[in-house]
Amino acid sequence: MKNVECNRLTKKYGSIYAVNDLTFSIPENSITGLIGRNGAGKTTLLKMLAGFLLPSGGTVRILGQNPFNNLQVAANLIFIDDELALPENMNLGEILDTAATFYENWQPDIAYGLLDYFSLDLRSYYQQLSKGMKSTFNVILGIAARCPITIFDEPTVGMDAAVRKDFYRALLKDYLQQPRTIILSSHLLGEIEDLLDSILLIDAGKKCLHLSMDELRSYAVGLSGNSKLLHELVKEEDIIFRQQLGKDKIYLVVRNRKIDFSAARFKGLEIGPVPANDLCVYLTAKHKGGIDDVFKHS
Amino acid sequence: MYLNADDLTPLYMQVAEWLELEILNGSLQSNEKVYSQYQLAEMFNINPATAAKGLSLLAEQNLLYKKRGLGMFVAPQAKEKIRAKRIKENLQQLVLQLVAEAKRLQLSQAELIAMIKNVDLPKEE
Amino acid sequence: MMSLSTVNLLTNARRQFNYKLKANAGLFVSLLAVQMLAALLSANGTVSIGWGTGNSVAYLRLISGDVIIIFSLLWAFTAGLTVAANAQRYDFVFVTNRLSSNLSSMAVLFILSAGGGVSATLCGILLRAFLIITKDGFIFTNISPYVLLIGICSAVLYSLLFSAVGYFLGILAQRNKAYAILLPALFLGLLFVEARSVGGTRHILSVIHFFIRESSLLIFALKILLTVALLYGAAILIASKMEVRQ
Repeated sequence: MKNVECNRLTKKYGSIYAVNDLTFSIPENSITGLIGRNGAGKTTLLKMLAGFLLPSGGTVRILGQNPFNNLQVAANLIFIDDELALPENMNLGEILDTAATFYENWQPDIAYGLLDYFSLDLRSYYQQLSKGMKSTFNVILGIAARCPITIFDEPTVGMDAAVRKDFYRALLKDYLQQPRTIILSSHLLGEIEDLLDSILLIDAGKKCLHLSMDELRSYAVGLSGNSKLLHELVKEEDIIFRQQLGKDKIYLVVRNRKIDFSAARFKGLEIGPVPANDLCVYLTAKHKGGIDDVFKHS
Repeated sequence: MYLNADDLTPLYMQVAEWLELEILNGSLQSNEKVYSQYQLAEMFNINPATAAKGLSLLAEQNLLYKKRGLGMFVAPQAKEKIRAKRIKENLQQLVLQLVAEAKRLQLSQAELIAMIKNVDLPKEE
Repeated sequence: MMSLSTVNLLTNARRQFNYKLKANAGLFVSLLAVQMLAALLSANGTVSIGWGTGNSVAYLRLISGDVIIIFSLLWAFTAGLTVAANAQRYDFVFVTNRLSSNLSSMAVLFILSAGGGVSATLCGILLRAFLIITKDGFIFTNISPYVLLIGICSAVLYSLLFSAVGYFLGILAQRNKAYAILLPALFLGLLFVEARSVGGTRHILSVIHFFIRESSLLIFALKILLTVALLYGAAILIASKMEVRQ
């Protein structure tokens, strides 16, 4: 069953498309990484999935229903971002107790356990927490609620590296205990790629890629060697990224299709895989040469 | 435990590799139950689907077999098969690279063999 | 397959009501503060007339709880605004839809209005009691339990009305921020125009008369409740297509 389905989903603000004609679906019990640069439309997309925003065009289906203003979807979905509006006059313990009344699968032991582990005091107030501690508290809510659809929008903002690592581990362990559909947005793929089943890469509101992690790893290859030889071997439209290495040596990232690897090796070209994170950066870059292009003519 | 994040070998192949080594060094015996995808996911901090893919990679090579409802078990002779496979695929490849590099550095065959003999591997426990 | 939760609208609204009562607890504190301030202001009399003949001077001071009531109604209005603003922020962190959010807001405002109306009336009585004990020379009108009951009822009903107006305007302002500037400007403009037009029809005045010139408590209550229902109905309609957590 597809738990999340979007068909030609579009969100327009004035003449600007925040989300542009997105079609994809996410199966139940999977962890999907929503990757894109700042301003790619990740948050707008996720808020439409959560039923907070109305699409300008196309459809969203969560658990088979339209999520906007839908109580049944809301009861099975939690949306965690870095700016939860929680009441100033309730302490963390009271907020957890409140959350417990709303979510049927709420896990008090996990909530209190995590709070204790991350040294958050039940009696402190949300507004007085530091940015990183707020994020930590938010993800505790997201994990302990155990909603069939769990959405984290840039959940690790402000967290230090150790907390981030602990969070990913906690998320995985809880997912193993209770599989569910998790969507995790980030502009950095590196930290989360091991956790993911698949990745949805968007750029300027449009879908770039929606692949399983294994497909992503074989999506492109890195080739380096003589630039003339390389350009004979690969088609221009397959080139994703280009970097000049020496006078006539070049590094290319190309789509992995119809490349004669043995011929390439024979000609002394080096072939290697491309790290998933780099690939996402290259795919969403405006220029094939990256930042170097800006300085090319100066 | 963490898999090598910098290694660009797909994670599921790293999992399969790790399991092969466990069988090779005798940690996992013939007909012994192997770790479930969930145990592996937790051990290596990876998605359970990835871990499952590592297991099925070994099952495809008949190194593991499935008992319905019970999980995966080490196939009889798995150790021998792995040994044979690794000699054929890994070691051969490594030797090829070794010889190629020796040739580039204009090392004689005798010198290379002497180097190999002098290698002192730390004792494994 | 993870089993899905199903939730009933009223069950969820009840959970939200409990949550929002806690989240808006600050409003009870501000009510107390407002009423104490009003009591302080009216302790010296709301109307004071002095006259003298020869070398004797007499003062007549009227003490009433009206200021307390008026302050409490203003508080009810801002409570409506506050609850509307908070609903948009706090409700959508947890399980809700627009209707459930509105229903729980209404319930919270009912409780707040009841609290405000009852305490305002009682506060007025307390003020008299305080003056009897501490000062001489006052002539008191008796308050029968029946009059007290009517006083409480009408104070609560007025509070309901004011909080509903506040809530409606609050939701309207959520829908479009421009209303937050437009509506007060419109209201003040209307006041200004009406103050100048001596002979013309006075809309605001006739609206007020519609409520305060009602001698039957039952019909008065009906008028208020109907207006409140209309305001909340409109708020629910406006909110149903509203985007949140933008």
